[in-house]
Amino acid sequence: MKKMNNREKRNPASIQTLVVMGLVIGATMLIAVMGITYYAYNRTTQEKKVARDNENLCDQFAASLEYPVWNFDATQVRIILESAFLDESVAAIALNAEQMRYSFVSDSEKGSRETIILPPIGNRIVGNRSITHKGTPIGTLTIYSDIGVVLAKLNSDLFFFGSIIAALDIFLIASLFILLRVIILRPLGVLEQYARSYEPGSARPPFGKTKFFGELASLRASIEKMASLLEQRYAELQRAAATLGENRKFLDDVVQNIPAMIFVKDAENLAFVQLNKTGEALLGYSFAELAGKNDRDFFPADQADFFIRMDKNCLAEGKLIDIPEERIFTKTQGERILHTRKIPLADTEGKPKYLLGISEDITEKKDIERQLRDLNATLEQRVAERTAVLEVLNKELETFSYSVSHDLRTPLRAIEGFSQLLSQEYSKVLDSEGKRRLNTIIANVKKMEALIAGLLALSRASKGELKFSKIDMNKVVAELCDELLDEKSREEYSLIVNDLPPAWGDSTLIRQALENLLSNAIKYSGKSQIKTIEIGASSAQGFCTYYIKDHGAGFDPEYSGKLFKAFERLHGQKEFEGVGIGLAIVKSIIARHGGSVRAEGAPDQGATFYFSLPLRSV
Amino acid sequence: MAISDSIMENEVGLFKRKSDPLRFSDLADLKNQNIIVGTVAGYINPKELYDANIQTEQVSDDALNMLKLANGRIRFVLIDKRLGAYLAEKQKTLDQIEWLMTLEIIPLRIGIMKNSSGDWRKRLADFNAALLAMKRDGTLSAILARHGFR
Repeated sequence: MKKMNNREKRNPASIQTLVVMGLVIGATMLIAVMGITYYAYNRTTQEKKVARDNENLCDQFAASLEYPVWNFDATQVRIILESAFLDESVAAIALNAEQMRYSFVSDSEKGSRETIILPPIGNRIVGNRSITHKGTPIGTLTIYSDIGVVLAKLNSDLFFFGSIIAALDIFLIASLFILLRVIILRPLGVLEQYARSYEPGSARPPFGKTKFFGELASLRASIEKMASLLEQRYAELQRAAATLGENRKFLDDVVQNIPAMIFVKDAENLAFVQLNKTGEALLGYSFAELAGKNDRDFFPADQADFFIRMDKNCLAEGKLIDIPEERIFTKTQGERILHTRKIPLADTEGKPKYLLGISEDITEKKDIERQLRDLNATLEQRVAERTAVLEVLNKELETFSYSVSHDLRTPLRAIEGFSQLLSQEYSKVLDSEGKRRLNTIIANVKKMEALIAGLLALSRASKGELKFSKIDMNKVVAELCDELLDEKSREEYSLIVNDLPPAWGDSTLIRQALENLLSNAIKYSGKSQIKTIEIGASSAQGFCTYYIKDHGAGFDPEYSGKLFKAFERLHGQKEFEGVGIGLAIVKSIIARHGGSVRAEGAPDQGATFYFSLPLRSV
Repeated sequence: MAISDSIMENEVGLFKRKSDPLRFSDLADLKNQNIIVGTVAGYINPKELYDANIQTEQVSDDALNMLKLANGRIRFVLIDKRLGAYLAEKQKTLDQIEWLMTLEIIPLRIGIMKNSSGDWRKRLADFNAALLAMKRDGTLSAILARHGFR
């Protein structure tokens, strides 16, 4: 309101004053233009008329004077010449003929008088005519027509009409002003007063009894509507301002409490204009201390130079720059290591206005990284040492298991042989209990033989040099199917062999692994009604995965971890024969090729065994 | 009106400029040459002039005709010989003009209005008697001579 009052003081001319001035000036100018136009038109018209009259007079008088001049009739000539002054515009008339020279000028008292000096031409129109008689020039007539006489009359008329128009003008101005005041100025003043005193949120001022006409009535309605809208908008604005305040506080809280230093500098002086609490805690300075100052006021020269250079780079490039590691000397925590990102903030024209900085204190992280690096270096050394020890132990274990298996076979065969002899030659001596016990010995010996054979097979699968070559898996599977299924079995079993990609590995061992898996599938499908076995493969992520799927006895997934361990069995010996070494061999072979094995299955719903081998350009 | 006896004889004819090389045999030639003769409005002109149907140009008095003749506006002036000479002398143009021919001789008389007061017969008789006496004793001739008439 104060501002508005000041503006009013600076511009005191009201519309009313302006309208009056406009009317006076406009009407005066109109009168002036009309008067000038009237005067100019009439003057031109009168001048033309005087000129035309002069021409006509010249013609008439030249004709009238023909015979008097021809006849040297001076009396008649004088009479005729003096008669010219009956026209009030004639100022002088002169005749120049042989024996006859006469000049008359206008005389205000006598009408005319003879003279020998003609008036100066001045503001006069001069017409000349040759007087002829039957084609022969006999004299010259000159008539001076005075425009002044006409102009004097014209001026008189102008003054008269000007006075009337001026009176009309004053009347018109007054009438117009009254009309404008009633129709426009007063309603406009009321509207202006209304608009000036109106304040959103307070009671609206009254319009009073002033009548509004036409567009001003519409304007009043529009202003009232606008005032209503303003009130609504004002209320909305207040709500928005409250929300904005809350949002701002929220954002401020977020910025202040983010566990990273956030600072803002102005682009021109690189002086601090914002610093959050984390920054205050990190630097040891409050924002009040930093505000308006730059890095050189707080940090060592080399660090301050670096920060400022980075700031300028960021502003020049107009994009985020990432400083993975920078050192800063703080007031309370000594030197710290920061990971800083600097982002230019542009104004509406795209020019950098501020620089936003986000710094994360990575001092502890860098310490941990250093410790980890040290630890890793130690760990690698220890692993290498352990690996070497394990390799030696493993070697020894393999040698031991091979030796044991091999060496155990000789006494075991002796026990078997002598047990067979005892059974054949002393069966009559032995009672039934003795026979039963002897058979038990023979059965266990056979079982032990199978165990030892398995151990040897596992040992063979785990050692020895691998001889890599391309393996035609389709061919291997076909051969194994022939070997593992006799004619009768082929009628019982249904084999679905999909196209198998070739593998890269030791052909003997891979064949062994496939044989173990296929023989398992045949064995565990033996008691199932569905004797379908499917073999297939797929490639993904650098590995080719082969699978053998059956619909046999399956297994309890809870115990799947035991499947590939040596001598671990999920089915009883009576249910399905075996020593529990086949899958351990498969795992060992595939592991040596850099691959992996896994199995899926459920009791009585079959099982699927997968083994993956690294793909190689074969 | 009653008219008196002739006082004197007046020659009526044509004056011309001396410098005018006009040649003609009779009035018909003037007509053929489209020659204009200056006359005075209201005067009775000789019958021959009318008969020849010669073009005339009238003015209000004889002096103007003489002036026009001297200035070449007209080639002939029909005028009394003595009056023409008198006017030319007055206008100082006598040496420029010459008498061309006499068309008629007219006796000059005075007229007495019969309805005027007094006895017009006596008045006429007295005038005639006095005129006759002046002719006889030479008084009239002397008076005329004094005024340039011979």
